[in-house]
Amino acid sequence: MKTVVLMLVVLGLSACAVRPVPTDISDVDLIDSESSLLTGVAAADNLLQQGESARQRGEYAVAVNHLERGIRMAPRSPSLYLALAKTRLAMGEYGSASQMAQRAVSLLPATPRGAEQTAKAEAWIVIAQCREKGGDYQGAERARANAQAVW
Amino acid sequence: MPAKRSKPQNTPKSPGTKKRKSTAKKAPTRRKQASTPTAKKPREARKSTKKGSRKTSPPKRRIWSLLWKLGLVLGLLALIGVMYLDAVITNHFEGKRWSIPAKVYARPLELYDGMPLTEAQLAFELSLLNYRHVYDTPVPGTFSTAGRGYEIVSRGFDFWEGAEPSQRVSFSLRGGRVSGLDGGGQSSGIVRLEPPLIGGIYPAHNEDRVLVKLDQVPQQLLQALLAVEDRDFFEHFGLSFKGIARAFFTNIASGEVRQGGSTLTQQLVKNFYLSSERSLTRKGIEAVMAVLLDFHYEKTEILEAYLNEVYLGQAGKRAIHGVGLGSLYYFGVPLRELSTEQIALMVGVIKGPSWYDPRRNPERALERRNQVLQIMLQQGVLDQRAYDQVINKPLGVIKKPLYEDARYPAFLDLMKRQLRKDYRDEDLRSEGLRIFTTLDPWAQESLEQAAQQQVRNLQSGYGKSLENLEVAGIFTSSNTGEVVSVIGGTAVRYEGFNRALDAYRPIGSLAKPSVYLAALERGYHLGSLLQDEPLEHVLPNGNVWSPQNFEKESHGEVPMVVALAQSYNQATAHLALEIGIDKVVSVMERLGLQDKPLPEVPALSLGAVSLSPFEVTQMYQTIATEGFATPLRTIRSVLTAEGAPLQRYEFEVEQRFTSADIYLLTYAMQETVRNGTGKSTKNWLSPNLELAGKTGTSDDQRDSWFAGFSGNYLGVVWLGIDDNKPTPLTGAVGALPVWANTMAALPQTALQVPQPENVEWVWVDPVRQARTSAHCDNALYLPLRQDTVPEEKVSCNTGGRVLNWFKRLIR
Repeated sequence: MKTVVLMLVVLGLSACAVRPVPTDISDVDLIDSESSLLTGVAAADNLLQQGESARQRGEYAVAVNHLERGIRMAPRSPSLYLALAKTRLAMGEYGSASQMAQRAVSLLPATPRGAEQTAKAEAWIVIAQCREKGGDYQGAERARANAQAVW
Repeated sequence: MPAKRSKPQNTPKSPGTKKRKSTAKKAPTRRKQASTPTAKKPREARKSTKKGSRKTSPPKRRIWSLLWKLGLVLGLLALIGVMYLDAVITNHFEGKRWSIPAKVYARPLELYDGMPLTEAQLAFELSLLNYRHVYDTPVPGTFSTAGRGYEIVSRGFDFWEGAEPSQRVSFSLRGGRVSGLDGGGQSSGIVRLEPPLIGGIYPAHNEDRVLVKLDQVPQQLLQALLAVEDRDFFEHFGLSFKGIARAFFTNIASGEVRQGGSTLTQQLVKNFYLSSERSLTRKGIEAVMAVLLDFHYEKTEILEAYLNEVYLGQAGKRAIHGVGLGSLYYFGVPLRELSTEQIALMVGVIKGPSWYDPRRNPERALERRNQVLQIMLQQGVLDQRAYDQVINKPLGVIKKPLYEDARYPAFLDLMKRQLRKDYRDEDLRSEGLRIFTTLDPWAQESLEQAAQQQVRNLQSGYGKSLENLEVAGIFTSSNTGEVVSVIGGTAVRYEGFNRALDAYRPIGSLAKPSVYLAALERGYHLGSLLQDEPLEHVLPNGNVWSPQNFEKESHGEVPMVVALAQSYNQATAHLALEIGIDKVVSVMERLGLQDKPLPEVPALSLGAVSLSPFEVTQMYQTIATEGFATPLRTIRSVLTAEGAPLQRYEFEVEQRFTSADIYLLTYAMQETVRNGTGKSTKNWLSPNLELAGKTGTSDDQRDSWFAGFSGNYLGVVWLGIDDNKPTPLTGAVGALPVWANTMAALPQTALQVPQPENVEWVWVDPVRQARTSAHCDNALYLPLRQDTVPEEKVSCNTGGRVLNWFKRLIR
């Protein structure tokens, strides 16, 4: 949580700069972060947690499997989609990661509160990083602005 | 005979000595190929013998030398023969012994707190897996009940992420949900039952088997098998003279053929390598091969091979081989759960699977089983007490085999088409792959029943005109695109024309949401007024397009939301012409028809395009997933025969529409179910589910469609007649009840789409195209995209004239 806050502040500041530098450090932070937004189904929370620790260990295929199982139990839980997006980001599948993060955004309320806020900001950061990888720096800036706005 | 054919192998003619190493493995195929290029060989051989015989010598010596040479040749031939047989045996035994069909599984039932589950569904799932109801403490594959409480002991299964052991789980069903789940030591709070086996992909010879390792086979089964078929198995050298003698005397004494003298090794050789022809030569070859096999391999290896090879029955085209599958086929349980009397029956059936078929000839099978039990008693496999306990038990055979291959043919068809994009047919038929699908058996059977019931109802109501009425349908998990059920016709078990995939039919009003979505994208809002008036549009070819409304009347000016909910043709036609048909085409393509050539004609807006139910489902899936195209999937993962993960079919989404536009369209489709053409759904489903849907009826009512979704399921149903005859059915009368009945059988969650940031709810006066107040006549409370909200705000219309369409809205 702390790292996310710090990161967002840093990113927020850097958004004013000419061009945000796609740093690997921010990627690592996002991938290591854990969701504080629960799914509403205890079993799916469990799978979310297992999925996130698998991702942190670098076992991406295992993580994806846990998260997809979780999505079957709580199919409208944004945190599972976000965790899946972070995993795809870690795997270097930027197109897919960005789409999954968009899906997480679409499942979150327009005015998120508490943990939803973090989730939405993180989702936009995933999108921003993916766009940077694809060379879309303007799009990335917009995404970061969205993250900033939520925060 | 084989010895002769093997000759070419010894000639140095075969090109390239480097490749020789591989000849051992591929001998059987090489032989055939070799016969043509080396056709010259025999002639050369003849020449040389001629030369030899020219040498003159005294007649006696000549005879002796001839005999000696003949003996030598014969001996050599025999030796070559044995070597050849030896090569055949080792090749086959050490290579891939069997083509193992791919096994296809339905999704596993996952139990966890809060999971929606009814008693009816649980009972169905347990019976599908053949879990037995017991009254004492359950063991794997059984369950007990107490009031609403259940205690189940799962069998354990190798899943994609690894083996899940057998687990004891208790829980209760309260308010249609699992609660108080206790999975013992398991902290994850999830217990999975093993996935039901729903089919296979068979090799050409249709042999089906489930491989087992020797240590998975119950001791008693081994003992019984050896007691009955081959008592000296561990002592003999492949042949048993003792066995032959004993069989001979037993048969003489009893006056019938009770025992065969063949050892298990001989039986294996016979099944493995030889035809079923009965001749002395074959018997001889069999004996030689049995000895060779015994010489080369451990007894345990031979026994394991036998247990997997043995033929146990016939299920239609499918031949049931091996005790692993035999156990599932006859008793519906894995090997280790077999009881003594079931073991005895299976061992008994080996003697004549058709003659002793326990389903067709139960009395004969019972007699044979008891004979086996007796032998087991005599041979000390059973003691008297154990024998007495089981001798009077019934056969214990399940009425229907646990999985019939043709149970869900339409789903399997779709699954195979998706699978063939990634796997070669040959691998599917032989490598023993395990395919985990998304099929939900409960959803499947619910759809089947709803469809068959509705077809029967309509046929009895409308008589002969609907004699050949057909049906197709697809349901998915609306958030993930996982296909949960498919039917391709009224004969749901019949593997024939799969209408869900291959019947291309005009979609009628199911096209309309595409028109409205295109309009919303271009700045229309749900309160925008459309002209529901007659129109005559001259087409480039000179024809005139003048669509009618279903009731043959026009409704004047109507707001968009009403026009869609009431499915007005003329209003939609005017709208489509206003925005341009190319925009409608673009929307349809983005909804999921990107690979489909769509006719860019105005009539497209009213459904003048033929789509399969599968294609329609793909389109509506994108709407249900809030604008994210989500490929319809039938496969989750594929494992190798050994349980190693091979491939996962991952969940992917791609945003094609903004959340706002889909939110607005969904609202209009919810209006359709609340107040419009789909309102009869309330006969089956609670209005609290906020379902979204659309009816579709093609010209002359040749096709009756319904497509709709809740918070967790999406379904598309089609009804019609194959030869395109008109029917008396609309979408609401024909397809809707099938959809609604299916949905009603499934645990539903309400459809609640999060309101996007740029959408707000406003009171709109459609006539004046302005914002207004809640208490005014004609005021509609609608979600609008912010950039489309009218700037003008008006007070109530003084006229007090309540518009026609307004009265139709029940609020």
